[in-house]
Amino acid sequence: MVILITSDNVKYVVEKDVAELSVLVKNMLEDIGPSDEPIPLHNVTSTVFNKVLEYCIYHRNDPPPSDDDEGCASPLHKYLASHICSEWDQRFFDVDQALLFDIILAANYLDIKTLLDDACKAVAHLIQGKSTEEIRGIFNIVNDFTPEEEARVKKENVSS
Amino acid sequence: MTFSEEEDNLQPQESGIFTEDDRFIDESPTRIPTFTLTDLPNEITLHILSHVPDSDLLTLSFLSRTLHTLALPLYLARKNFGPRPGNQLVLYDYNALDALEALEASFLRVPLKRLYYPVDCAKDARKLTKDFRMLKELLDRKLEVLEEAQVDFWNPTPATEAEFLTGAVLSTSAVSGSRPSESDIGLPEEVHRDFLALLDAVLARGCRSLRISHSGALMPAVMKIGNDVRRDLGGGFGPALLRDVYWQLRTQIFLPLSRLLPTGTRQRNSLHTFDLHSPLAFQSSIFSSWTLRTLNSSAITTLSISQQFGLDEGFWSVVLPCIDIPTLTSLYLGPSSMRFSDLLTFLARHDRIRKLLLGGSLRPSLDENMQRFSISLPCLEHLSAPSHLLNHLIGPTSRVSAPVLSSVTISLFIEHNQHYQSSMLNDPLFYTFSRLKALQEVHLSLSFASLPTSWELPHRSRITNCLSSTSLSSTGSWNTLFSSHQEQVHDLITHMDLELKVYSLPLFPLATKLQGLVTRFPKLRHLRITSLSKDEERVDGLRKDMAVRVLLGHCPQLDSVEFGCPER
Repeated sequence: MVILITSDNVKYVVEKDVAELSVLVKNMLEDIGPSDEPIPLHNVTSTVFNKVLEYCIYHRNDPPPSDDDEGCASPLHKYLASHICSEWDQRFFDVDQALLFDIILAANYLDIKTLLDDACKAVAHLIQGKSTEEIRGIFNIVNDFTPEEEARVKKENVSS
Repeated sequence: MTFSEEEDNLQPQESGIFTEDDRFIDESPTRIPTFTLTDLPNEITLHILSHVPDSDLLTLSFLSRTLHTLALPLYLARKNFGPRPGNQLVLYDYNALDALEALEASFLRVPLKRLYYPVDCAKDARKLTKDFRMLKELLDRKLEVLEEAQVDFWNPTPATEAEFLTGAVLSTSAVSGSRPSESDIGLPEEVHRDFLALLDAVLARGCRSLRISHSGALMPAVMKIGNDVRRDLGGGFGPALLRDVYWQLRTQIFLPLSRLLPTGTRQRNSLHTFDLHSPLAFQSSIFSSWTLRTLNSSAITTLSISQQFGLDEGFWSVVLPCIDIPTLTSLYLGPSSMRFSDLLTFLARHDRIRKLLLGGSLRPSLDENMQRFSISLPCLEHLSAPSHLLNHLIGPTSRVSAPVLSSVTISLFIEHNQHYQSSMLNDPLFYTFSRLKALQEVHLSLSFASLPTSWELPHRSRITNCLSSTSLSSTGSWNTLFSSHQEQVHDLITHMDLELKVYSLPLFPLATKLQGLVTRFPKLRHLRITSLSKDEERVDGLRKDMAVRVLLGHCPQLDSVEFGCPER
């Protein structure tokens, strides 16, 4: 068992194999050796960590991601992996945007490659097939083009 | 406990978020969501973008400046812009329009170093025109620098002809009806003007090196290609005598006169390397006149003419006299069928040539006329040629004077399943030996059509005993002469370029096997090994180093061994 403490001071007792899905935690455990000392996670709040933990527990028995993306999987395999999400994953990522970005940042900080990948795919999925204005609305992206550039964008959008 | 201290310092609310530089952003629930796609660290945004399909990527790049600078390069990279080192644009048919449109819409100033443009001749003429105009527009307005350009004509022969050539159509009667006319070769006639305008735009961007080449079947149909040019240049008229007089006049009087024109007109562009590697540079009247005009109006220093299949010697005897490049310092001639006398006349007019490379597969027809010529190449320093041409150029009967010639490369091609024998050098170069001996450096460019199982004939004794029973009777007498001779050609070789026409090199077997070959050249100091593998990095550096060490260890006379890529 590993004790983790989030930035808002919530204590979690997590099984070792689940905690070690995070490369950050894994490295820390290796550094401090066997001890009962809690591990602080400065950049993660408990709201976000709840989600992360849910993901890690569900995916604890998945085969570890390979470092070598090129060699192992066939192109078809990779295509399927990047396009097909399990129903569970779909429901898991069906959260409000702020939380989704929090999950991405947390996954990046904790170094959980599969979660980062899946969350990025979820964001990419939100973008897919939308028009410029739709995406602007969804992500609240500020238009900071100069008027001439703007004119060009308009022209480009008309032609395409 | 360290963490408890920090927890006192920071009392974040649940909706709070850290940005990448650890600043805490207070998020009020009324402003939904302030933290968004563009606030993520760039590497994460790129990670997300890598999962976004092409079309959406383009949409994203028109949302904001940040997204523009992140998404557009990624989009262009997917469309073959700049993924390789050196800002290269490769315009394949499937990506050309997308890449061009994205570049057109881009706010980034795009530096482009190299343009590789495979032009699909089988494509619809209107689409081709659209591509050419778009690219020209971009070159005129958007792209910053262009140093090198290559246009490669794909599918130069129409499908029916290509199928006929490859045997896909078995019944000849089916083909005879639809045999293409000469106008079907290369680009459709109506797009030539736009294409040449594009080439002019390329040159106007300061392009220093231009190559015209082709890929794919280009066989008998091409025979007619030069006809337009020949007609235009007046080569088709009258009996041979009259034609000769005309050309004599033209080369002796008109061209020298044109040289007196102010040289300023020659520096209209920065082109200094021009590679004509396809007869399609002469595919129509206007194309040929563009090619000739470019040759004659640019300050070209390096010219290569190669892969000129289908253009016969008659074509060249009309065209060569029309080419006049006073700035030319190096000339490379690959496969083409020029008359040797035409070539010599051409060389005589270009007396600044320092480097002359005549490809191993150049087969000029040797006519008796050549003895007439006494030409001078006052600047020629390096000459590379197969042995039969060397005899003609610097042999005892030659009337070519090259006073500053200091190095010669003998090119020798060893066919599949053949071995290298010293007689391959000694026999043909017997009379030229003394001239070679007087030079500073004699290089050997040895090219093997396949990876030989052994590099030389099995019996070593054969090298010294030239009279062995296996030697050819016709060369027997020469060999007899040589055996009494103290030195032979292979004793002169100091540099060797070993070219293996294979795609991967078995480095270690190579290194040990080469020993036998190398010891045959007592003065050999520098060895360079090249294969057809274009990707230099594919040959593992460490293994290469070790192979070099093995070679140097086995052959103490060597000073350096290198592995390289083919230059051309």
